[in-house]
Amino acid sequence: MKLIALAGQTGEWLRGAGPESEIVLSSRIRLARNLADQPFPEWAAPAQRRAVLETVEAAVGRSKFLKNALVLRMSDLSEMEQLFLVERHLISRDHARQPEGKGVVISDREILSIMINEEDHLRLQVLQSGLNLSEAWAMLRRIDEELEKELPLAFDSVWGYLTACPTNVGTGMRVSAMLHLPCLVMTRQINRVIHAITKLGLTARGFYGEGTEASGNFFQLSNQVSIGVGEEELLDSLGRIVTQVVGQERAARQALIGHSKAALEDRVFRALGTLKSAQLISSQEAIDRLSMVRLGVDLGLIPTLQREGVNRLLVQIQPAHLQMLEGRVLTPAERDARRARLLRESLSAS
Amino acid sequence: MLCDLCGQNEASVHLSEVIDGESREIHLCQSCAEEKGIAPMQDFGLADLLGGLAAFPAERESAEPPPGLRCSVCGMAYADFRKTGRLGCAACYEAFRQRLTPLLNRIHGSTHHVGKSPASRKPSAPKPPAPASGKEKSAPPARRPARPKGPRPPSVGQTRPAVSGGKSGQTAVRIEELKVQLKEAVAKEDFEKAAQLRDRIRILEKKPEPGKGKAE
Repeated sequence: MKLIALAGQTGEWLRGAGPESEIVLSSRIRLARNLADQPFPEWAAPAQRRAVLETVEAAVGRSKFLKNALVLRMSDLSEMEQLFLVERHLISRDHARQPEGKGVVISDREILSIMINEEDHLRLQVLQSGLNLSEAWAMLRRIDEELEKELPLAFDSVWGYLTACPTNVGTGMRVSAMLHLPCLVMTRQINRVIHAITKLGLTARGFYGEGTEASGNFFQLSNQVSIGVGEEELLDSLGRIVTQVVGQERAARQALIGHSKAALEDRVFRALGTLKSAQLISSQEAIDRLSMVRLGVDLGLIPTLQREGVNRLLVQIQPAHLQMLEGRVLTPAERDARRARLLRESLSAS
Repeated sequence: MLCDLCGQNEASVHLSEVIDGESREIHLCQSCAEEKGIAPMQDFGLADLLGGLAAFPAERESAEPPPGLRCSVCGMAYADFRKTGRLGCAACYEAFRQRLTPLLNRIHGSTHHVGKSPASRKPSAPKPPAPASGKEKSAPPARRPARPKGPRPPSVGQTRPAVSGGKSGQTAVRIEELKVQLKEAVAKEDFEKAAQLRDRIRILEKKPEPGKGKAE
């Protein structure tokens, strides 16, 4: 499989299926793991980082579950290709920053990915569509167990899996879910929800990863604590909280339909109208309008459009995706035009 | 923000409508909203339902680290870690164990892993550091966090607000906070947590005068 092949396919997590998928876009679990006998990537010398990269690549090569995976070295990729992987949520922004000695493994259908030499030697993640944490965990656990037979991992009987940053020590696990909460935003309840979430030891951030503001009414909820709580408990408590928030969003949707149906429909169809006719459109505007259109699809207002199609557009309108589509580097102004064309063409039938 | 109608209570119901492209906002308190027949959309039960799940202890630095503290395996100084927030290697956890224990407690409220461990082998600490040049007081390798002498927990029933003299104001406040948490833990019969809290209190109190601030 080649990188360009990804551009033509839709990642599993964008399918718009799975439990609660009208509100939960995706769920993700990641594990941080390190080799016991090598310094952590940021402290390691270049030769040590390379040695880790080769050791992990060899272990991945012997893996049954990763037989058809794409194994890439970051330094072999162009800047555009690196950004493309960031936009698909397969690697972090940091991983693309200094590519030397770093690698990435991407499974079939982009369900599993492994960053090699990011902040930790290994960052394994599983991305699923909808609220699907137990399935994601079953898969991730299998691969973790397979790899730890091959690799001597840094583990302490008291502190668990040892990680470069003490915020990840213990299970090395972060569980997150991406939620689309337009009606909690519209009814001004979102701050209360976020406040309650942070009180429960979770964080909320935007669609485009750490340090980004929530845009398009997408919020990523994840756990903070990684030690003193077992994996199943982490999954269970995040799942329970997400279900609560989903219930709140659903109630807000019902309330808005009850009180202000016409106004709600007006917003949805104005957004669709803009996307179908704009000649130039920024990422930000496109995301905000797509959020409204997605709500319209979820409420059954736009029967000609599928949720998966809207999800895919949320990813495709990003800069590197547009440039991969065009096969060349585009200036910001060219991107606004290309983005508008993509949206017009994709939505013309609806 | 106060209620637009009564001007007295905090507004908790926010309405906005757009008429001819002009947006208008109204902010009402709960009782005015109910009086006007504008029922709140829903009760927010999340916090109530899951309230006691987790709470972060306040962030606070404890005493300064000894300047020469350094990992003898990878050479990272504790000062480097303080700057970057990232450790150098697995052995750093041993080298800085005494410093990291309270830090982990502050971040996670725990210092004991309870999840899965590598199935293929016995849990083991990272390799003991090969003897290196570091002659300064390096942290003792492969040892549990130093536990203050005295019987093991959880004999924690009686806590009294005994702020021993000579502590900085911050530490005293911290100790008080921990004691409150300790009481709660005991009330919930969470003795594991209570034991950890008690240990932390003792570390902060360092050398309590005999008979003062002791639970036993």
